[in-house]
Amino acid sequence: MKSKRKIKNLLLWEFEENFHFPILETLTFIAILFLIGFVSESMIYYEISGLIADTAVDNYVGLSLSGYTLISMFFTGFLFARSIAGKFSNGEMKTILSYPVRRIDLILSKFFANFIVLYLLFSSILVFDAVLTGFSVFSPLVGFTLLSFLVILLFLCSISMVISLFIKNEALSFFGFLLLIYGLEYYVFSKEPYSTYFSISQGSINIAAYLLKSYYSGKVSLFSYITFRMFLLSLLFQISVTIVLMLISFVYFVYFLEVD
Amino acid sequence: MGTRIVYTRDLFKFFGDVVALDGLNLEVPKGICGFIGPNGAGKTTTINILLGLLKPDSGEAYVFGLDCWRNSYEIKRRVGVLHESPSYPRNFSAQRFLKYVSQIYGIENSEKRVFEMLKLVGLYDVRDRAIKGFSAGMLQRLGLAQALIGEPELVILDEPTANLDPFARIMFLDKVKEFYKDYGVNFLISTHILPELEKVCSWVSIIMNGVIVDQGFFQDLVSKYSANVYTVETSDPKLLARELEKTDFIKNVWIEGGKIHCKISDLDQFHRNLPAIASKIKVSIRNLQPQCSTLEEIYREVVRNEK
Repeated sequence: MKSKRKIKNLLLWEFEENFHFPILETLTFIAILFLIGFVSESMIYYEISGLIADTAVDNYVGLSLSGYTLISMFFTGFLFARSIAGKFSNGEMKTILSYPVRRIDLILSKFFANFIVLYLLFSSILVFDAVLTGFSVFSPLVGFTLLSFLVILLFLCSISMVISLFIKNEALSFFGFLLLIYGLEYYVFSKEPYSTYFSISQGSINIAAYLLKSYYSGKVSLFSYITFRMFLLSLLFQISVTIVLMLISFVYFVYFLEVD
Repeated sequence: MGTRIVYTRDLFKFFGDVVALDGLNLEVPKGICGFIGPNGAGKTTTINILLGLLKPDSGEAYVFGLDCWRNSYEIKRRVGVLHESPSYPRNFSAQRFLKYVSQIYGIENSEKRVFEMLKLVGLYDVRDRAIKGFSAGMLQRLGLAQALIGEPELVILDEPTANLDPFARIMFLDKVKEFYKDYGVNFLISTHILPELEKVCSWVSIIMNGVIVDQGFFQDLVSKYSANVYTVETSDPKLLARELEKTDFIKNVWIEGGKIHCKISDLDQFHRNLPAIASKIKVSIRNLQPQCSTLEEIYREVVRNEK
């Protein structure tokens, strides 16, 4: 019970730190810019067809989801570098670890506070985008997109956390994360035929699109190129990497980390 | 010696090829204790091991009889700490920050405790100001508040007066004394500023190159290091020093800062014969006192012996 209360306190502490930093203003500003871009594109489709057509769905999943996934990479790296690596370099981690907190509680609270902030922000933008495009908030399209984004965000957060924990330098962690993620994207797209399940932007599309295709089971002609194998490999790759990296982070932080 | 609250035996810690602790045997009783040594001697490393932030490569370290690495959570519930150059959430107000800390310590009426602490360290009037706007002295007082808020039995202060002006240093150490007297909080203070430390501490541990070179109650150390080293102030130090060198009750004589320092082998003979020698060569003795009457002098003597 006491441990639960401490996690709650640590989570609140972390949330408050996130909300004190102008990161939210920055995020919102950039997100709105992108939103305007995507919405205007969607509206063109809407005007041409006169109804919510397959093209709009394709546009939403293909552009909005992958677009926001790419933007979220940037902010995930930034947030984790700041809240983990940055705390090592400025000495705040030493201060917090000198209080009676269990290390597992601390790392869990940092991970979930950052994850929740990022997910709430980007999922609300995705929902907003969907509504402006003409989809219902409760449509399967929005549900599957949010589910797919949840998986990809956990994946990104776990990578960012492990990098921040081992590098312990804010700037290096951030750039290291970007280099790794964009390097992975570059590698995937240089393959012929490219292995989309390793791609972060394409992987999220594979998951959302396949779920949508299965839900309507042949009633729509969209995403016919996405196979069950692509969906499964995308999902397995992201989930397994997330689990392995989270375990590495937790074991390292709890049992091996030394703070000087 | 009273009950030991901190105890290490043959503690070793390496950072690559650097030996940070080389078989450290530290003992700290209840009270206000000084932990002194030159830069890089291993003071901060020792403190980090005591708090379970670093794992020793070998040896044992205990606080309140609890193993520092395995029981660090239990130890931290009973210990408050102010690190050297500490860092706190910059955008939080002092009140908000202390509220979180008190909640982490599980203080029941945290709001009341926060106000008490803020008043005690003199930050009550600026409780709503963001920490990033605090001066070095205010940060240090906030550090003391966060170290004391959990009602600890032991408070570890690592270079607590390093960034403070002389007046703030005195105020800070007065607070330490007050806490020991009024609340029975024990303190382990690591510092370079010895004149101030000697006014508050009862026990001193001296560390050099990762080893405790001497430790004990301050008065015992004064007796120990004063027993055979005396300082003589005279009208002609060179002449008197030459005469003293010829005697067989003095082991060693040297002049430093215009004063004669003598290491004496027979104290009785020294006291009996010194006035006669001085009058024979017609020099006056202005002052004669044991060399190590202050912590700084003890420290210098220990360092000299080690070198």
